[in-house]
Amino acid sequence: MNSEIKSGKEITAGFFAGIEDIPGVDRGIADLLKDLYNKDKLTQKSLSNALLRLRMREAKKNE
Amino acid sequence: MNKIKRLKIKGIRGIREPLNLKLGQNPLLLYGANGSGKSSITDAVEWFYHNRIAHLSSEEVGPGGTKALPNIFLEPGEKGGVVFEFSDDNLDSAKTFSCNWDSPQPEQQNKSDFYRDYLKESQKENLFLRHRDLVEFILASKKEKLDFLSKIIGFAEVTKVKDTLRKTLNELKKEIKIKDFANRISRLESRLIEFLNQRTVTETQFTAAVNLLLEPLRLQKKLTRFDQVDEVLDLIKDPGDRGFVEQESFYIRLLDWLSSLDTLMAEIETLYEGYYSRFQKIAADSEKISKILLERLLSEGERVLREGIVKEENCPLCLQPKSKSELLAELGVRLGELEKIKKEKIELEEVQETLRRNLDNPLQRLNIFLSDRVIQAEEHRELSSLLEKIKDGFAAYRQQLGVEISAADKLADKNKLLIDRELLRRAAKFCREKIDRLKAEKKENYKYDFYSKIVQARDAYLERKKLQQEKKIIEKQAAAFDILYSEFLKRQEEGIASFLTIFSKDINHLYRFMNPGERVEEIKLAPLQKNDELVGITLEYKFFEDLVSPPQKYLSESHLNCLGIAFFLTSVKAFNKRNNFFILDDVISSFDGLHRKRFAELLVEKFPSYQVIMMTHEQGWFEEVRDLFKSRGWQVAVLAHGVATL
Repeated sequence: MNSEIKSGKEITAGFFAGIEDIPGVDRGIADLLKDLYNKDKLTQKSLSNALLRLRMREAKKNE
Repeated sequence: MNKIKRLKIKGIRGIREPLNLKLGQNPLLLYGANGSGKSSITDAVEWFYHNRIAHLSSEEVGPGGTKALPNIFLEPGEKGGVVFEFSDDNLDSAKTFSCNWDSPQPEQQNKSDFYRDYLKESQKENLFLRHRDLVEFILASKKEKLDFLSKIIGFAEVTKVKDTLRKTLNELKKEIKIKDFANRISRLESRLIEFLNQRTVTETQFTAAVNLLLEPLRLQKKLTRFDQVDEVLDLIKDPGDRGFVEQESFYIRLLDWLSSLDTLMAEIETLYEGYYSRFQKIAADSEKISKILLERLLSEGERVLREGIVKEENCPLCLQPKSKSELLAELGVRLGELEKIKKEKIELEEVQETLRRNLDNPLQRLNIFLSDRVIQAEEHRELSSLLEKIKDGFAAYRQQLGVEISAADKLADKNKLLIDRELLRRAAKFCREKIDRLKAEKKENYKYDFYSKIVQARDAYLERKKLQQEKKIIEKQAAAFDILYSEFLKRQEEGIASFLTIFSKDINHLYRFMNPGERVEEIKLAPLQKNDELVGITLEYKFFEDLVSPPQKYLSESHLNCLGIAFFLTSVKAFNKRNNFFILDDVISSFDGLHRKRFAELLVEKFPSYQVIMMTHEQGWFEEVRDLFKSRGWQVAVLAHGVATL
């Protein structure tokens, strides 16, 4: 493929590589997404479960 | 980059006896009259790489068109196939089949991982173009153009991530709506006003309000912090007050929840109506049901192969020998054909999931109320029975979500599932009467009124605080996903825009080479968007300074063919990374004389490093250009009766 053209894989990999630098995105959410993507487990179900766990952790911290 | 040294074909389509093309990595101009077997070469190459001959695929021949692969004069059991010798001899391979008219089973000789990877990558490349497919892209719809290019550059990966982000964002928004934070918080604030006679949202406001309320009692202790509230309550409570307050608190919470139930029920009824109509539409079509079952099987098969659960090189279902890559390629084609029904099924599942969440919430709350110590007493039998009936109503909806679309059972009509609102009214009346009775019993005990109000206010304050925090956390997640989704869309757009710019430049260059001096300029592929989503790609150009689209509006057949060729050749340059050869099968047939000449010049001028196999049945053109090609190192051959004479 022409080296100037980014493949779909390169676009997604680039997005997740710099996800923590996107303004307004909580670090916990960025790390969670990056981790799921790197483990090739980024599905809606696994993401929803991970977000629920994150919410529970944060709620506990606030108690 | 890989080139062909030798290509040998036997027993495929119009080629009975072995056709031996000794190319020695050189490009080839091959002339053959109609019926000489030229197109069988392209069919054989397509079958070799993709295990299908797409243009032969039909209801009669079956998916993939492979039943039409064997030459009709092959004896049963006789072998046919393709042998490739490449510049990289690690890739040399023969793919053969034994003639069996029901289903010719292919066998790849080269079973190395290196070769398997090569085959997989080659399947994404543009290795051949037939005359029939020349303007396929040019005349395709905007959506088809987008799908086509997305597939080539692997945008399925981008779409998958984008869908996951979008669905997660929608789920978070739905959860915020289902949890009804604003109304619940507002109701709790009203309760705080009712108990403490003033708006109380901070700890300071709460302690001040309680101190003000308790002033008539002239207590020694004043509240300075929220966590001292229980110490103050100990000073004013009488033995037995706790049990009374526990009951009162239960009724107040239940009443509060019942008051929100009517709206929730109406929402569930609307959602179920939508679910029912989608479900019935699919269930009424037996063909769709079969396809859903088939899609499920094929998807599972794909997963089993991808995850390496089956190690052997055979089909895990019928145990016929077949390589994993061939099986995956076949499954990919068949799943592609079932894409539409899969989308309908996914949409149905999305409504089902929303409905499930809306139902799980009241069912959980009802279980909490029904297991509360207060309701276990004999005097609450009536209330318990009313709540059980409401619960049964929600459970009946929930049960419907388990009905399989393929099962003989039918989904219940929405009218049969309606929950009687009278149950809510009776339960609410029961609670109100109980509260009144409790108050009447404690009428003489003036301190109880203070005690009860402060306990209720404390519980309401804590619940409000908890809800506020929950709301804040979930809204923070939703806001983050809103940003992430927008940012991802931006990256997708940038990716596709950069790709289209580079791609358009090459198409424009090649087209203008074949049409010098004409007033068609700045040909480009442009993205089309709707609601932040990329929905298609259009092909536009300047015609006498005016921007026009689609191309068929002003261009002749010959010019459209030029665009088709320019698109294919641009794709070759952009995407072929393993193979340095490609086949052009009779593509000049619809070109006029001038364009045929320019096309020959384009191939020798712009593609000198490629091994082009150019096939034609146009004798005049062949005679005209053979010397040009020869002078640039091409081999020139004539194909007759399955024999190529160089």
